[in-house]
Amino acid sequence: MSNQFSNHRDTPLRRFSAFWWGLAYFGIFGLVSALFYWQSGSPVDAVAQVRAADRYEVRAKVDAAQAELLPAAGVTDKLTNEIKAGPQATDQFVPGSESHKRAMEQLASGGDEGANEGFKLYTAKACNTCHGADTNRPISPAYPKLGGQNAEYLLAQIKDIHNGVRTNGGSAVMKGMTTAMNLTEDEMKTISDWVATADKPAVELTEGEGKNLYMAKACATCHGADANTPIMPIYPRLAGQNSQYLYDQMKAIKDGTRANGQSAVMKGIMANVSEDEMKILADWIAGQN
Amino acid sequence: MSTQSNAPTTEDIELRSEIDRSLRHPVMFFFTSGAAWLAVSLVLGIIASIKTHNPAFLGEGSFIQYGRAFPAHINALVYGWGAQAAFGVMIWLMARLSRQPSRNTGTLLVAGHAWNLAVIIGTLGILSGHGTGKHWMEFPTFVWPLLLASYAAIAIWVVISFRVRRGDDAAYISQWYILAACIWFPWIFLTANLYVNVFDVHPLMAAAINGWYRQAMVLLFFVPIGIASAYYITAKITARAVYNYSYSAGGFWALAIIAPWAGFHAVMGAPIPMFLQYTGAAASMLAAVPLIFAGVNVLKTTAGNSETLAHSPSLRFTVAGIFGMIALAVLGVILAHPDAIRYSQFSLAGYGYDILALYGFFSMCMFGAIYFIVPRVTRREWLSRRLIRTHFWFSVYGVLLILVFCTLLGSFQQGAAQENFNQPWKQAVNSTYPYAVGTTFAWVAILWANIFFFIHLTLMWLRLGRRSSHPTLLNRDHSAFGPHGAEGDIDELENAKA
Repeated sequence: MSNQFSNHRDTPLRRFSAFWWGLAYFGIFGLVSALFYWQSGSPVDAVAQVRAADRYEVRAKVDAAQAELLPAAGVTDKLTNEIKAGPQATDQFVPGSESHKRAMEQLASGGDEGANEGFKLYTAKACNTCHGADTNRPISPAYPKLGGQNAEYLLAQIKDIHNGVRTNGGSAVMKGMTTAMNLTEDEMKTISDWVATADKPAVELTEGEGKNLYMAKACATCHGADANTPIMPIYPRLAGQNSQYLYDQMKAIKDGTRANGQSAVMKGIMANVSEDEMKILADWIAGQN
Repeated sequence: MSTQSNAPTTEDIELRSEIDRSLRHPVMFFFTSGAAWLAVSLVLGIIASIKTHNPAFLGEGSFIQYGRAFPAHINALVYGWGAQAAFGVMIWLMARLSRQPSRNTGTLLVAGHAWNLAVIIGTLGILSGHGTGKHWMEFPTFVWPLLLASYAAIAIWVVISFRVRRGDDAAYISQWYILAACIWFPWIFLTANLYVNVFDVHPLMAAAINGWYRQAMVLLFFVPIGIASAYYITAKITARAVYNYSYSAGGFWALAIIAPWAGFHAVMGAPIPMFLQYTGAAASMLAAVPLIFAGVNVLKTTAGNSETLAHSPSLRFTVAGIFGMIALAVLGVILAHPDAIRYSQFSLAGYGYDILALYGFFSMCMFGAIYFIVPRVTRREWLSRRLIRTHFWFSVYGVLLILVFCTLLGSFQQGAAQENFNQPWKQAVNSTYPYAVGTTFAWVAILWANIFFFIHLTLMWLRLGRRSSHPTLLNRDHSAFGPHGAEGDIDELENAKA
């Protein structure tokens, strides 16, 4: 071949140098980037440092305030992990998918006519936005699960919040919603009746410290030994409720922030319960231990 | 091209066939596996496009949801088809223009397989949920070094082939572009991947660098390869010198100076240094200058040759690609304008721009090159002009539909609806419904075109092409009275002559 097509430029040396120079060209940009990165990272600008000090101070304040507002450690982490874990149970769906639509239709046509109307209202008045499509998946652990709750209790709470009698926790948000959605008393009743027929939150209450405390503090007297059979329909069912929500309510009743309805009775009982005990009670009722 | 005589000597012809023979397998491997990836990418693209207007399509298996199908589609298109078509054209064109047969067939094939392996791992990685969520870098992070190493093993022979080129020191404009793309690719790829995946930079800056990476891949890799191929094909087929030397040189240097600044406007409005965003927008608009220089130069070279243009598949595809490039230049000016970014930044427009660049311009130029190169390296002619015509017209109509539905009407409709705060957000989504359906139709047309292209190409690699001394032109049926004399088996003709 070399005789037939001679090429004076094609020498082994030229090939060798082109090979290494070529590879060097390919790699040099990486080297330049690395040098630039390390060089730009090292010198610290004094002005920037001073300004950063202010920011760190504000950041520390914000962190402290947030920590105070979110006493349950790692709530956001827990939520984040739940979201990351993605749909795992069969009752969770890709939003907007066919099976999701089917499940929603099933839910809507599940009960009698009244229940159906209640579901429509529940969705139309955007209750589902915060409390979840099935009434038991609130977007924040500080919001209550609603499914299977006593209709009387539910109705009383909606009215109290709407009329400004109950003001603790997220009530301000809820009041905003009831006002914005122009809920009439009839509609409140229809929604409460339907929510009461929805499935209760599934929960398994265990033996142990929580249960002992629940009995010892006389909770069972009014709310029932299974935390699900209150002696009056105006008292709430508790079993399976969000731990965070339960804890917030006990605290609010004890310090008087929540004073609507039958809270006076409850306040007397709570006088005897410390915050640590509230935490244990709340976790046990929520089925967390 | 001006130094090349139109009447080649016997030695020239022997040298060319020697070059073609030495590169037959690597070139055919890159083209055929590239075409297979193109088909895969189009299927995924259709699925992703249908998912935008009919989310329940094909059920709820997670691997086929939009969030996985779409990145798999665009990455398979860029790295599976785009890069491999570019490799095939790069090594063949550089060898032909440097008039030097390849001695590294084995290395090229091994590196080509490594590249394909990396793309397979990456695509399966995306589909199984390990995508990174960074545009055009969605392959799991460990894939990029493998891609870069394979690239180096392929492209280094192009550089060497240029260095040992035969004859005087002059280089053709196509060689400039190919050599530049050869060096620009590792610059873009390595820098972007280091800053996004390795160094601990601010995440916003990483997003901006990702925007730069995409624009640079288009303007500094796919554009130069496409232009190099277009200059070569038009000059060869019309048997003319390139229209204007100053346009060629000016276009090249303008591209080299302007293009590296483009792309940061992808994050317009983000809290990163503002000059980056506006320089990015300005450079993206100015990039029209080199593109139009090259486009006019190529079109002027073909001027007055409308018959050749109609009959030659290579020239037809190439000129269509050049029109795509001019459309890309105009669209770049429209979409990167800061007033338009308001509407186009969070709409379908960016995708439409990418598709116009990758398919409307680059792929069409590559098809032109492939229709030229494959008969030479296999020494067989294309089997069917009908398949070529189908490929051409379905591609043209498909990409025009995408340009209209996705890039212009759909994106501005969507952008304007998103900006309108008097109506709910969902209205903006609903307003894109007809355009999403239109985009799906466009992809189906393009898939239809390319399934036949893939089959045609595979048959050619199996050396089942026509054994004839006459190229497959698009003017008339195969007949014994073609413009080049009697039609027939090349060996029989040779024997009859002897």
